[in-house]
Amino acid sequence: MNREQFTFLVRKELSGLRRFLLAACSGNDQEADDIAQEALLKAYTASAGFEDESGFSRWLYRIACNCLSDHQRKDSVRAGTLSIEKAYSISSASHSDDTFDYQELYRAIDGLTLSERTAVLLFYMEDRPIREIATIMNTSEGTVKASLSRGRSHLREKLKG
Amino acid sequence: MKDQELYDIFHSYHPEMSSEEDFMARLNEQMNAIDKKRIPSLWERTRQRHFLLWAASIAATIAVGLFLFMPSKGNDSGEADLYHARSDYQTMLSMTQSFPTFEETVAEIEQSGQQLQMAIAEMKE
Repeated sequence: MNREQFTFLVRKELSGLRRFLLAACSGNDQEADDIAQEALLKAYTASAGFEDESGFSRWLYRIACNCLSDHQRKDSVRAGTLSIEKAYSISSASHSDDTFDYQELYRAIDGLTLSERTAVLLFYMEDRPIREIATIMNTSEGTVKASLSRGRSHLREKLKG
Repeated sequence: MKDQELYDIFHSYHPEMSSEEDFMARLNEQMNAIDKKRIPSLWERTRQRHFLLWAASIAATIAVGLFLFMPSKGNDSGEADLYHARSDYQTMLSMTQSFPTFEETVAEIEQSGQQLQMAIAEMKE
Protein backbone atom coordinates (compact mmCIF):
# COMPACT_ATOMS: atom_id res chain seq x y z
CA MET A 1 0.00 0.00 0.00
CA ASN A 2 1.48 3.33 -1.01
CA ARG A 3 1.05 6.68 0.69
CA GLU A 4 -1.81 7.83 -1.56
CA GLN A 5 -3.82 4.68 -0.86
CA PHE A 6 -3.07 4.95 2.85
CA THR A 7 -4.17 8.60 3.01
CA PHE A 8 -7.34 7.82 1.08
CA LEU A 9 -8.33 5.05 3.50
CA VAL A 10 -7.37 7.12 6.54
CA ARG A 11 -9.66 9.94 5.43
CA LYS A 12 -12.56 7.49 5.35
CA GLU A 13 -11.85 6.31 8.91
CA LEU A 14 -10.59 9.49 10.48
CA SER A 15 -13.81 10.99 11.77
CA GLY A 16 -14.98 7.77 13.42
CA LEU A 17 -11.57 7.00 14.85
CA ARG A 18 -11.17 10.44 16.43
CA ARG A 19 -14.67 10.29 17.86
CA PHE A 20 -14.03 6.83 19.30
CA LEU A 21 -10.76 7.94 20.88
CA LEU A 22 -12.28 11.15 22.20
CA ALA A 23 -14.97 9.17 24.00
CA ALA A 24 -12.40 6.63 25.21
CA CYS A 25 -10.33 9.51 26.63
CA SER A 26 -13.42 10.93 28.35
CA GLY A 27 -13.46 14.08 26.28
CA ASN A 28 -9.77 14.94 26.50
CA ASP A 29 -9.39 15.96 22.86
CA GLN A 30 -5.67 16.68 23.10
CA GLU A 31 -4.92 13.22 24.43
CA ALA A 32 -7.31 11.63 21.92
CA ASP A 33 -5.67 13.36 18.97
CA ASP A 34 -2.19 12.48 20.21
CA ILE A 35 -3.19 8.82 20.36
CA ALA A 36 -4.81 9.06 16.93
CA GLN A 37 -1.66 10.58 15.45
CA GLU A 38 0.52 7.95 17.09
CA ALA A 39 -1.72 5.14 15.83
CA LEU A 40 -1.84 6.53 12.30
CA LEU A 41 1.92 6.94 12.15
CA LYS A 42 2.43 3.40 13.38
CA ALA A 43 -0.03 2.21 10.76
CA TYR A 44 1.72 4.24 8.06
CA THR A 45 5.09 2.77 8.99
CA ALA A 46 3.66 -0.74 8.71
CA SER A 47 1.44 -0.02 5.70
CA ALA A 48 4.03 -0.95 3.06
CA GLY A 49 3.32 -4.62 3.62
CA PHE A 50 -0.41 -4.24 4.15
CA GLU A 51 -2.57 -4.99 1.11
CA ASP A 52 -5.95 -6.01 2.57
CA GLU A 53 -7.96 -2.83 2.01
CA SER A 54 -11.19 -4.40 3.23
CA GLY A 55 -9.60 -5.10 6.60
CA PHE A 56 -8.01 -1.67 6.90
CA SER A 57 -10.54 -0.29 9.39
CA ARG A 58 -10.22 -3.30 11.67
CA TRP A 59 -6.43 -3.13 11.45
CA LEU A 60 -6.34 0.60 12.16
CA TYR A 61 -8.64 0.32 15.17
CA ARG A 62 -6.55 -2.52 16.53
CA ILE A 63 -3.44 -0.35 16.35
CA ALA A 64 -5.37 2.54 17.92
CA CYS A 65 -6.57 0.32 20.77
CA ASN A 66 -3.00 -0.81 21.42
CA CYS A 67 -1.85 2.82 21.48
CA LEU A 68 -4.71 3.70 23.80
CA SER A 69 -3.74 0.86 26.09
CA ASP A 70 -0.05 1.89 26.07
CA HIS A 71 -0.99 5.48 26.70
CA GLN A 72 -3.20 4.63 29.63
CA ARG A 73 -0.67 2.26 31.12
CA LYS A 74 1.90 5.03 31.09
CA ASP A 75 -0.52 7.60 32.35
CA SER A 76 -1.41 6.77 35.94
CA VAL A 77 -4.32 9.19 35.77
CA ARG A 78 -6.08 6.79 33.44
CA ALA A 79 -5.20 3.58 35.26
CA GLY A 80 -8.18 1.86 36.78
CA THR A 81 -11.06 3.97 37.96
CA LEU A 82 -10.80 7.70 38.03
CA SER A 83 -12.22 9.97 40.63
CA ILE A 84 -15.18 12.07 39.61
CA GLU A 85 -13.31 15.21 40.61
CA LYS A 86 -10.53 14.29 38.22
CA ALA A 87 -13.02 13.61 35.46
CA TYR A 88 -14.48 17.07 35.97
CA SER A 89 -11.08 18.67 35.78
CA ILE A 90 -10.21 16.81 32.58
CA SER A 91 -13.52 17.73 31.04
CA SER A 92 -13.03 21.34 32.03
CA ALA A 93 -9.53 21.39 30.60
CA SER A 94 -10.76 20.16 27.26
CA HIS A 95 -10.96 22.70 24.47
CA SER A 96 -14.25 21.46 23.07
CA ASP A 97 -17.09 23.88 23.65
CA ASP A 98 -19.62 21.10 23.83
CA THR A 99 -17.70 19.03 26.39
CA PHE A 100 -20.15 20.19 29.03
CA ASP A 101 -23.00 18.53 27.14
CA TYR A 102 -21.29 15.18 27.41
CA GLN A 103 -19.91 15.47 30.94
CA GLU A 104 -22.35 12.97 32.32
CA LEU A 105 -21.50 10.51 29.57
CA TYR A 106 -17.76 11.05 30.04
CA ARG A 107 -18.04 10.46 33.78
CA ALA A 108 -19.95 7.26 33.13
CA ILE A 109 -17.40 6.08 30.57
CA ASP A 110 -14.59 7.00 32.90
CA GLY A 111 -15.78 4.51 35.48
CA LEU A 112 -15.26 1.66 33.03
CA THR A 113 -12.08 -0.35 32.69
CA LEU A 114 -10.24 0.01 29.42
CA SER A 115 -11.55 -3.27 28.01
CA GLU A 116 -15.14 -2.44 29.04
CA ARG A 117 -14.84 1.03 27.58
CA THR A 118 -13.39 -0.23 24.30
CA ALA A 119 -16.00 -2.96 23.94
CA VAL A 120 -18.90 -0.62 24.74
CA LEU A 121 -17.74 2.12 22.37
CA LEU A 122 -17.03 -0.24 19.50
CA PHE A 123 -20.36 -1.97 19.99
CA TYR A 124 -22.73 0.93 20.65
CA MET A 125 -21.00 3.80 18.92
CA GLU A 126 -19.24 2.07 16.03
CA ASP A 127 -21.88 -0.64 15.53
CA ARG A 128 -19.26 -3.32 15.14
CA PRO A 129 -20.15 -7.00 15.59
CA ILE A 130 -18.78 -8.95 18.56
CA ARG A 131 -16.46 -11.02 16.36
CA GLU A 132 -14.86 -7.92 14.89
CA ILE A 133 -14.51 -6.32 18.32
CA ALA A 134 -12.77 -9.48 19.50
CA THR A 135 -10.33 -9.20 16.59
CA ILE A 136 -9.69 -5.52 17.31
CA MET A 137 -9.16 -6.16 21.02
CA ASN A 138 -7.16 -9.30 20.31
CA THR A 139 -9.28 -11.38 22.64
CA SER A 140 -12.05 -13.98 22.53
CA GLU A 141 -15.70 -13.29 21.77
CA GLY A 142 -16.59 -14.52 25.26
CA THR A 143 -14.33 -11.95 26.87
CA VAL A 144 -15.86 -9.20 24.73
CA LYS A 145 -19.38 -10.29 25.75
CA ALA A 146 -18.35 -10.25 29.42
CA SER A 147 -16.79 -6.80 29.07
CA LEU A 148 -19.91 -5.56 27.30
CA SER A 149 -22.15 -6.94 30.00
CA ARG A 150 -20.18 -5.32 32.82
CA GLY A 151 -19.86 -2.06 30.90
CA ARG A 152 -23.56 -2.00 30.10
CA SER A 153 -24.50 -2.53 33.76
CA HIS A 154 -22.18 0.24 34.85
CA LEU A 155 -23.48 2.68 32.25
CA ARG A 156 -27.10 1.89 33.09
CA GLU A 157 -26.40 2.63 36.70
CA LYS A 158 -24.55 5.85 36.02
CA LEU A 159 -26.78 7.21 33.32
CA LYS A 160 -30.18 6.36 34.77
CA GLY A 161 -32.29 9.30 35.69
CA MET B 1 -32.13 1.02 30.75
CA LYS B 2 -32.69 -0.80 27.48
CA ASP B 3 -29.99 -1.46 24.94
CA GLN B 4 -31.71 0.86 22.51
CA GLU B 5 -31.24 3.73 24.93
CA LEU B 6 -27.50 3.13 25.00
CA TYR B 7 -27.48 3.02 21.22
CA ASP B 8 -29.33 6.30 21.11
CA ILE B 9 -26.97 7.93 23.58
CA PHE B 10 -23.87 6.89 21.67
CA HIS B 11 -25.36 7.57 18.26
CA SER B 12 -26.25 11.11 19.31
CA TYR B 13 -22.65 11.62 20.43
CA HIS B 14 -21.22 14.11 17.96
CA PRO B 15 -18.64 16.14 19.84
CA GLU B 16 -16.95 19.15 18.35
CA MET B 17 -13.49 18.25 17.25
CA SER B 18 -10.59 20.28 15.92
CA SER B 19 -10.40 20.69 12.15
CA GLU B 20 -9.85 17.48 10.22
CA GLU B 21 -7.66 19.35 7.74
CA ASP B 22 -5.42 20.59 10.54
CA PHE B 23 -5.19 17.06 11.84
CA MET B 24 -4.28 15.73 8.39
CA ALA B 25 -1.74 18.51 7.88
CA ARG B 26 -0.02 17.51 11.13
CA LEU B 27 -0.15 13.88 10.10
CA ASN B 28 1.27 14.61 6.65
CA GLU B 29 4.11 16.54 8.22
CA GLN B 30 5.01 13.57 10.37
CA MET B 31 4.64 11.16 7.46
CA ASN B 32 7.07 13.34 5.48
CA ALA B 33 9.55 13.05 8.34
CA ILE B 34 9.17 9.26 8.28
CA ASP B 35 9.63 9.19 4.50
CA LYS B 36 12.82 11.19 4.77
CA LYS B 37 14.26 8.78 7.31
CA ARG B 38 13.20 5.76 5.36
CA ILE B 39 15.60 4.80 2.56
CA PRO B 40 13.57 2.68 0.19
CA SER B 41 15.26 -0.20 -1.52
CA LEU B 42 15.87 -0.09 -5.27
CA TRP B 43 13.12 -2.66 -5.66
CA GLU B 44 10.58 -0.54 -3.77
CA ARG B 45 11.50 2.64 -5.62
CA THR B 46 11.29 1.18 -9.10
CA ARG B 47 8.82 -1.64 -8.64
CA GLN B 48 5.77 0.21 -9.86
CA ARG B 49 7.21 2.64 -12.36
CA HIS B 50 9.56 0.20 -14.07
CA PHE B 51 7.74 -3.05 -13.58
CA LEU B 52 8.27 -4.16 -17.20
CA LEU B 53 11.97 -3.42 -17.01
CA TRP B 54 12.24 -5.52 -13.85
CA ALA B 55 10.26 -8.34 -15.45
CA ALA B 56 12.43 -8.28 -18.59
CA SER B 57 15.64 -8.24 -16.53
CA ILE B 58 14.53 -11.18 -14.43
CA ALA B 59 13.46 -13.12 -17.53
CA ALA B 60 16.79 -12.39 -19.26
CA THR B 61 18.75 -13.49 -16.18
CA ILE B 62 16.82 -16.75 -16.03
CA ALA B 63 17.37 -17.35 -19.75
CA VAL B 64 21.13 -16.76 -19.50
CA GLY B 65 21.29 -18.98 -16.44
CA LEU B 66 19.49 -21.78 -18.24
CA PHE B 67 21.74 -21.45 -21.29
CA LEU B 68 24.92 -21.56 -19.23
CA PHE B 69 23.98 -24.29 -16.84
CA MET B 70 21.74 -26.43 -19.01
CA PRO B 71 22.97 -30.06 -18.77
CA SER B 72 24.52 -31.41 -22.00
CA LYS B 73 22.79 -34.08 -24.02
CA GLY B 74 24.58 -37.25 -23.08
CA ASN B 75 23.48 -40.80 -22.67
CA ASP B 76 22.97 -42.94 -19.68
CA SER B 77 25.62 -45.47 -20.64
CA GLY B 78 28.40 -43.05 -19.83
CA GLU B 79 29.76 -42.69 -23.32
CA ALA B 80 32.08 -39.79 -23.99
CA ASP B 81 30.41 -36.59 -25.04
CA LEU B 82 32.26 -36.12 -28.32
CA TYR B 83 30.47 -32.90 -29.23
CA HIS B 84 31.65 -31.08 -26.15
CA ALA B 85 35.08 -32.76 -26.27
CA ARG B 86 35.60 -31.65 -29.89
CA SER B 87 38.06 -28.88 -29.14
CA ASP B 88 40.23 -31.24 -27.07
CA TYR B 89 40.14 -33.80 -29.84
CA GLN B 90 41.13 -31.22 -32.44
CA THR B 91 44.09 -30.10 -30.34
CA MET B 92 45.20 -33.69 -29.96
CA LEU B 93 44.80 -34.30 -33.71
CA SER B 94 46.90 -31.31 -34.70
CA MET B 95 49.64 -32.47 -32.31
CA THR B 96 49.74 -35.98 -33.78
CA GLN B 97 49.81 -34.51 -37.29
CA SER B 98 52.88 -32.44 -36.47
CA PHE B 99 54.69 -35.42 -34.98
CA PRO B 100 53.84 -38.63 -37.00
CA THR B 101 54.36 -41.97 -35.33
CA PHE B 102 57.14 -44.41 -36.22
CA GLU B 103 54.83 -46.74 -38.12
CA GLU B 104 53.43 -43.88 -40.15
CA THR B 105 56.95 -42.75 -41.08
CA VAL B 106 57.96 -46.30 -42.11
CA ALA B 107 54.81 -46.69 -44.19
CA GLU B 108 55.45 -43.37 -45.88
CA ILE B 109 59.07 -44.35 -46.73
CA GLU B 110 57.91 -47.73 -48.07
CA GLN B 111 55.31 -46.03 -50.22
CA SER B 112 57.90 -43.60 -51.56
CA GLY B 113 60.26 -46.53 -52.31
CA GLN B 114 57.56 -48.34 -54.23
CA GLN B 115 56.77 -45.22 -56.23
CA LEU B 116 60.49 -44.81 -57.02
CA GLN B 117 60.81 -48.46 -58.17
CA MET B 118 57.79 -48.03 -60.42
CA ALA B 119 59.25 -44.85 -61.90
CA ILE B 120 62.62 -46.61 -62.62
CA ALA B 121 60.77 -49.53 -64.22
CA GLU B 122 58.90 -47.18 -66.48
CA MET B 123 62.09 -45.43 -67.53
CA LYS B 124 63.69 -48.82 -68.45
CA GLU B 125 60.82 -49.65 -70.68
